[in-house]
Amino acid sequence: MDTNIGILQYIKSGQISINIEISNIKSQKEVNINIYQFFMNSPDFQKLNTEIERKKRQLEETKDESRRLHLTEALQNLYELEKEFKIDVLRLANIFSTIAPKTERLKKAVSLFDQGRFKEADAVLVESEMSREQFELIALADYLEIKYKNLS
Amino acid sequence: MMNHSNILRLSSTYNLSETFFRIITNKELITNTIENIYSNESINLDLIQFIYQTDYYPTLDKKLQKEREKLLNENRLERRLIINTTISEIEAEIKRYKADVLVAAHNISISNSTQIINQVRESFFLGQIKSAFNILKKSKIEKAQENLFLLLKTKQKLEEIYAHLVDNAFEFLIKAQLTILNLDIPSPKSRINMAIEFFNKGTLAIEKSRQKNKEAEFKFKYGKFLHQHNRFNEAFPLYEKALELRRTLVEKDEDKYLSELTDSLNNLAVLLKTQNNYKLAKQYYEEALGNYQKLTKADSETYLPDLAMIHHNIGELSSSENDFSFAKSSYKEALIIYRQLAKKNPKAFLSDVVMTLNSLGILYKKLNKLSKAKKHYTEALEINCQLSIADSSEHLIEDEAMIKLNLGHLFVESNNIDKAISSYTQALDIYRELAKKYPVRYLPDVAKVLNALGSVNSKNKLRQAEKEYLEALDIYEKLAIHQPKVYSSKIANTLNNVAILYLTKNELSISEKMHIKALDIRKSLIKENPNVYRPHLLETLLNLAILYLNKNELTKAEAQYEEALIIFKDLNNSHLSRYRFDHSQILNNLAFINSKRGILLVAEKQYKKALNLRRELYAENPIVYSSFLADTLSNLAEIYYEKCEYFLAMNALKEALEIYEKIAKKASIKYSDDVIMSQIAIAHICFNSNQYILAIEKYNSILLILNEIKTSGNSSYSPQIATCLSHLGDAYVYNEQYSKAINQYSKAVTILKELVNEDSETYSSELKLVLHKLEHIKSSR
Repeated sequence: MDTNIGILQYIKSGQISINIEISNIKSQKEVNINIYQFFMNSPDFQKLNTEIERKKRQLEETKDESRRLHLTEALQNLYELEKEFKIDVLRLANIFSTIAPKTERLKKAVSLFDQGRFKEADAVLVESEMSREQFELIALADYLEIKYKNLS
Repeated sequence: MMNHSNILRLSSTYNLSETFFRIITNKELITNTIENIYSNESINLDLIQFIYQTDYYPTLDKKLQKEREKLLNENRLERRLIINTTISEIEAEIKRYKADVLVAAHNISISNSTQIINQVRESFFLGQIKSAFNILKKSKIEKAQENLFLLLKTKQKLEEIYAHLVDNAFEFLIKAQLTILNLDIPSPKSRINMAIEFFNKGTLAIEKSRQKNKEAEFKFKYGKFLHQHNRFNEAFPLYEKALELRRTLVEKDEDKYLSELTDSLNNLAVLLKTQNNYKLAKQYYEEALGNYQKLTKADSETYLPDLAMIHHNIGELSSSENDFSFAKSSYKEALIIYRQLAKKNPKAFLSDVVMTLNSLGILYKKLNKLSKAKKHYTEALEINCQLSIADSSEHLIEDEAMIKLNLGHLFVESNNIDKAISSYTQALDIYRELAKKYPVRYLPDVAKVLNALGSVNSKNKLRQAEKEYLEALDIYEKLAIHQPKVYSSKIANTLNNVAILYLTKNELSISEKMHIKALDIRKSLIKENPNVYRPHLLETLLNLAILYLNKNELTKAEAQYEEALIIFKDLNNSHLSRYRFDHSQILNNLAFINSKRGILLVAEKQYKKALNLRRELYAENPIVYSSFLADTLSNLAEIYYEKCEYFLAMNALKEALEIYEKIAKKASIKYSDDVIMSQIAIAHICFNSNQYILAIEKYNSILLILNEIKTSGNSSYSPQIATCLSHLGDAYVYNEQYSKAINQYSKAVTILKELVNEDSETYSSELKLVLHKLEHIKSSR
């Protein structure tokens, strides 16, 4: 299996159903192997996973009952976070599979997302640039709308 | 070819015949006419007349006439040949002119109406060809063309800008979704709030883009994001807007947008159900159902699972609304489809079959069809078991626990307590195991089962029940540290259960403490969601009132009931109907308090109100409400008795007795307590209303029963026997049967002496009174 291949093409081709996968994650069922690989290759997911493993080790090493209780709770919160994270990723993958990115910026973000590099994808979409462009587009649209009205 | 109304319009505008416009707007007729002109055949008279009226025609005609006159006056052959050639040329020119006029008339009449074309038409159809030609001068057309070109260019540019705005909006949408994944922002709430800011920026762009389909898509996705992150109130207007836009789009292109419209309807219904707006949710679900049925006909593979899901959702909603027959048919539809889907793809759909069987089980339990409920739960468990063989996922283990918990509830309902405890215990073991790995997720289930077990054991294993309730309470209190909003209502429910348990154990002060804690929580919850929590607050107030009645603290009890009555005023209609019994209970108990205080008129009024409510309830469900109706009748009879309104008291008691006898017969009880007490009360009324012979008959009859019970070893009616004997003695005195009177008094004295030995405080005064009557009658004889 080519582990460099992202998940978007599987979703687009109908080989993966996002709703079923989200339902699997919610009910702690096994997920599709491609989804599993996708998360395993994601540096952002790895970071979360490393934190879970670290907490698990701490729990194994701790004998103190109250500390154990605290760690169990922290670990449980991390499991919940992991679950929510996976679900949010799949929901976004679903959105990516239904839109055709037209801007270079969005194309780059989609590509990074498909490699599991979510934080980098986020960084590509620079808010200040997008806001400035929006301001210019709205101003131009206002001008052209008035011009069109006067001409017709 | 032009339609008739346009022909009529042209005809009336330009004062030319309909026939004229019928021909010139028809390409085929015009072509035939032109052929006729060139082949010197006749053409329509209206066309001829129009051509003759045109401004150029007289010049041509004059030119022709002039040449013809020349020909008449010319005798030279050579010259005549030249003139003839000229005439032929002019005639050809006239033919061309006629044809050109008709072609121009055709083009002008079928052209789109612009300002210039309208001006041209006005001149042309008046026959002013020259003037029409001037209007169409090159410079004017060019200017119009330039304008048109600029307009098109502006429109094109605008569309490009709109498309860029859509891109910009979706960039913000993606940015928002990516923000949620940015775990460097530590708080989930901050991540969501930041995402919302990006969504709002995107909204500015999408609204400006004027692309309705894209706006609908954006707002639906934004609404869904908020819905998924539990921001229900904010999600609602976005879903509504997307729905409104998609309805307009479906009107234009149903095939393309029906599926999206249905998604909007479904999500809105799910959201509305969460907000307890069942009526509107049902309306949207039903519309979505109709659409899915349509979509399934076209593409069953894609939409059949959605169709099943919507049937199931409608089933759940109808069940929540107590519309059980509709719920049943919806669940059954869902089950048929899921079974069909599971045949093809068991891995994907068998768990849906399990879920629907479980839902049907719950429904049949509500309908009191316990064997059917058991059948469905059992099948659900069997399938779940099959699935577990191939798949050891935790959700299957969780489903097993859930079905076992439901089976436990079912066994409670069918009074099979041992089996109920066994099912609950199995469910509890599974949840405890799951909670070891996922405490936050499964501890609430552990607490839920503990509450259920506590409820079963509270009937006769009070210590065990107390242990279970307290463990549940401890779990909820721990969970509430992090999620107070989620668990405070559960804490209140459990406190309520423990408080009732302590009331049963007659540990009144701890019960009161627990009730007050529950009351405080429920009072704060009511501020957040009054519709949901008003009935809960009502429950605690009523329980607390009963506790105070037990403590004989009538003023405190009354205060709880008064507060409960205020809550009733705020209940909506559906709740009012559901809580009629509680309402009747409040009125009944308030009447009881007032009767104890001797405020008989108020008590009578309250009992009568309670009686009306209970008559309604009895008419709807006699099995459940018969004893309550009889109780209120009996209480009201007591008031009438106190007021010496014996006729009314007798009527009320007779009705109560009739009901008590039916209940006793149904329960196969020979002499029920209620029947006996009612009969004694009837005898007392006969006595007090001076019907001594009838009273003697009634007392003798009830004493026979009471003595039979006493002989069988049950001496609990001794005080009643003594009272009846004493009254019977009185009746004999009034009836001047003194020796019989002495006999009854003596028997009463014997019993009362026994009772005084056990409880002198209660019975000594009654003994004194009977002894006095006995002495008096003996001495007077």
